[in-house]
Amino acid sequence: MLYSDACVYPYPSGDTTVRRLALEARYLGYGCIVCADCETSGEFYGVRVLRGCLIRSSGFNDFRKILKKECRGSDIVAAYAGDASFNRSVISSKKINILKGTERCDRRAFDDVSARYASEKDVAVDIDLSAIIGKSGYLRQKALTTYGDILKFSRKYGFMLTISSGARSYPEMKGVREVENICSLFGMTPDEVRCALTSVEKILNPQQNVEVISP
Amino acid sequence: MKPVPPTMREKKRYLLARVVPHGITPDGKSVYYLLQETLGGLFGDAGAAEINMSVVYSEGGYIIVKCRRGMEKCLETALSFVTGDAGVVFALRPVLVSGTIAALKRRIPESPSPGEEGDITFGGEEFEYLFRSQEKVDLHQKGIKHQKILYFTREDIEEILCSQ
Repeated sequence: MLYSDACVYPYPSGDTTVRRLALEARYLGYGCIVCADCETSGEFYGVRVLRGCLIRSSGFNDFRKILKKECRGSDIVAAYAGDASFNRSVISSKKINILKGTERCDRRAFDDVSARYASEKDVAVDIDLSAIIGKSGYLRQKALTTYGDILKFSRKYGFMLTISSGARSYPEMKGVREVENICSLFGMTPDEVRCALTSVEKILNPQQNVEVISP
Repeated sequence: MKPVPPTMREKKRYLLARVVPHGITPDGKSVYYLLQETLGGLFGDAGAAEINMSVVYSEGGYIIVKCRRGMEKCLETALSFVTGDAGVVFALRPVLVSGTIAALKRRIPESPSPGEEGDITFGGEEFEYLFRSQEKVDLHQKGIKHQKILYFTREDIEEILCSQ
């Protein structure tokens, strides 16, 4: 299974081109990166580059409009989390692959109902490392607490987790071992980290139910 | 106060970290303060005191940091939280842990000779490009202050030059 960085922002959103990010990803041990707000996809330096569509919406109707307009041809569709009802609607609609930005929301926005839906609909919840690294004090503590809660839900209900660096520049990308160290701050074990890093691959190639073919 | 005799001194571990992007060698003192702040933020004052970190070497794009034995993982975590200093964006990538500074210094590769340089106009702005390795190219915007730095590859530069 290839390890994937679930969200990077190449040029023009960031200062590093897709190719340079792919080159750095190879050095850091990744086989796949998801580029948000980017038209390029393909394979560079042995690293698979996927087109990601990131939806920032104010409500479910707005979400559907943006989805129709901007997400055609995207490999991965991710949406920023909102309040509890929005999260439930978005997850149960089965239109997204990843739910991002849970650390920005209220602590109750992602509850056990959303967790159960995410498990049923194969929607992954993202852990954004830039939210831990780029913040300090209370905001970092809040992000760590939220990710700790999501990890507990994931252990109980079995939905997928993805890990993204949110890098806008190549120095912001983190290696697999660094990711393990950072995620250990909120109680994630190295095995769980490695499993989360392969989630993008699992989203793209979901496990099919075994079919019994009668002779 | 008498110094602690050698047999009673605590065991140390040294950690080699690479500075990215290329060409930046941060001051050892500033890295020390950055790491102390990070360690304090992540593990508290008591935790930072237990780690007992200090920067012992900073040269040629590599730094060596010292810590108490058994605390390497905490220090490695703190290194990942360094994002830059005084407007300069850089990251510290842990490379190796050892019991001696000499062993780490042996593992520091010789800095590559500066590559091909040139000027390029991109997006209506003038940049100076510099090849960092066979594939990596850094673009520095020309100007006096607030210059942008863009990170490209050889193929990106060739595409731009062909289109001009």
